[in-house]
Amino acid sequence: MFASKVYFSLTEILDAAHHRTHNEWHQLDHRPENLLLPGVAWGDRWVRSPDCAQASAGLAPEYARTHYAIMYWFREPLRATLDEFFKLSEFSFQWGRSPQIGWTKRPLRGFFSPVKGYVATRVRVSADALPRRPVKGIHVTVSRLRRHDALTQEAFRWYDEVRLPDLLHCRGAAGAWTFASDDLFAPPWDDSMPAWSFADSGSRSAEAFPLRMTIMYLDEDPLEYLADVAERDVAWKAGGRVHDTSPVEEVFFSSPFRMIVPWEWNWFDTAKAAS
Amino acid sequence: MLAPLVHLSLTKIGDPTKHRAYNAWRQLDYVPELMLDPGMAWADAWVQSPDCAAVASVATHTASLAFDYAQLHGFRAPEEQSARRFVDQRERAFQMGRRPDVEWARESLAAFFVPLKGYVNPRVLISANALPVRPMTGVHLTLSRFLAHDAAAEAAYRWQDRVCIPELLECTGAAGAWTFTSHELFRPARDLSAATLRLRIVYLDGDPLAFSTECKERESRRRAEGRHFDASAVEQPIFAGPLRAIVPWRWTWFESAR
Repeated sequence: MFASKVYFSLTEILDAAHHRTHNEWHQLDHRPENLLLPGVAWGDRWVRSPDCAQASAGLAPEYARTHYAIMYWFREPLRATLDEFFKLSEFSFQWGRSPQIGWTKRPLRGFFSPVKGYVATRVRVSADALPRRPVKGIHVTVSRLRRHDALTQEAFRWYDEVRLPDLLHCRGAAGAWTFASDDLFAPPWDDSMPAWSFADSGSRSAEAFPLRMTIMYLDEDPLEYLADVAERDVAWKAGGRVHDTSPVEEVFFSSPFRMIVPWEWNWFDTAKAAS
Repeated sequence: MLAPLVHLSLTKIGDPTKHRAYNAWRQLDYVPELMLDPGMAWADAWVQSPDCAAVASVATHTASLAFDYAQLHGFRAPEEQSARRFVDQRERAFQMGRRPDVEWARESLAAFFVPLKGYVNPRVLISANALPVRPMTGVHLTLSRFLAHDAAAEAAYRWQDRVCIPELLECTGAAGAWTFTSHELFRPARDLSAATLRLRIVYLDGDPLAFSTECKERESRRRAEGRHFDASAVEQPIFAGPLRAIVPWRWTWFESAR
């Protein structure tokens, strides 16, 4: 696997006037510097535009105002990689290049271990290459795992053997990756060394339950993908291919996001004008 | 330095109906696999759209260098190993039947270069190393052949560094620049009497055509004011012109032309 850990966060912009400055800062300043770090295999960000927000499902209230999702993939050796990753964050602050702290909130952020990648047969790249392949959008589902037992195994097997292969047949589904909270795995640093941690209420240590996340990579409009899933789900339910996983997981975030084209940061301008 | 070695290739698409197929292949198949290699620092590509080609300066003796796309790949250290794997990946893709471009794409130039110096417009804040991975609207690419490795060439390089590039960075939309020279000059068995290639890339975050126009205006003004350095004794221009960034799925530049 090309990366052994990922960092994922959901971001909310507290002041709507700052969407452009936020994108300008991240896309033209912070991300390029991050991509220079040898341990950063890839970093990407997507927007939950108003139409995507409307198409969300199963949202817990604290995530309802999420505007962006961000993910960085890390190569080994993780200790050195994460040292550099967090050093850059502090350097950026000391350089006076962290303006986002004045207008962002991250209701969710943490480290995950990639579990498995899937690629639609029409797409020729490997699962490892999927995150680097351009997308028109993604669909993110995050859930809290209520248990870690045989029932959970059965749900995970269903995802692996039935649900994800089915979803890959839907319009625009290029592939998928599943992830699990790093709490469930060995810590990505030496036990003897101080560990990086987050101080805010959304920190990994504040999560009472380990998380499971699925990202669908889409090369067609994300809303068309969702419409196709809804249509196909009728037949899948009738055919017994849909499994109730609620005893095992609580889905608290499920939403499409769009790709971010540099300088085309106007998704929220219309919403502002209308309001 | 992020990438102590780079590879420039210029590609011409022989069949004009294949531009979409070429971009889909490169952007959705070839590059994602290529970039899995930790030795790859970046894989940039730009298009010489018809409006860009209309304002480019092309030397008459280099008609065979006609191109639609320019690709610049950067390699991390140990750079020669990274470059070897880059070459291997091209063959591996061919062996997997994933090089449809061989049917309709022709490389008019493919060469390794060594990065010399990066320049960043102060408004752009980032480091010079980060320039190639910062989103851009396009680049302005200048390629020339230096015929000698002597005092005249050194004077031309000094003028580029101290006068020309700082002036270019004052043009609207110039985010920064990098200069590059032929990799052959850094080999033990180098031949200093042989001509070498010199590459300059100005990274743009404004309109590439407007930048190109402003460049020409400034050059005319320098010439009129006697401030332009005449390097014609040692430098043969090959190409100078703007190229556009390629946004996934927006591969329509040549469709209206057809």
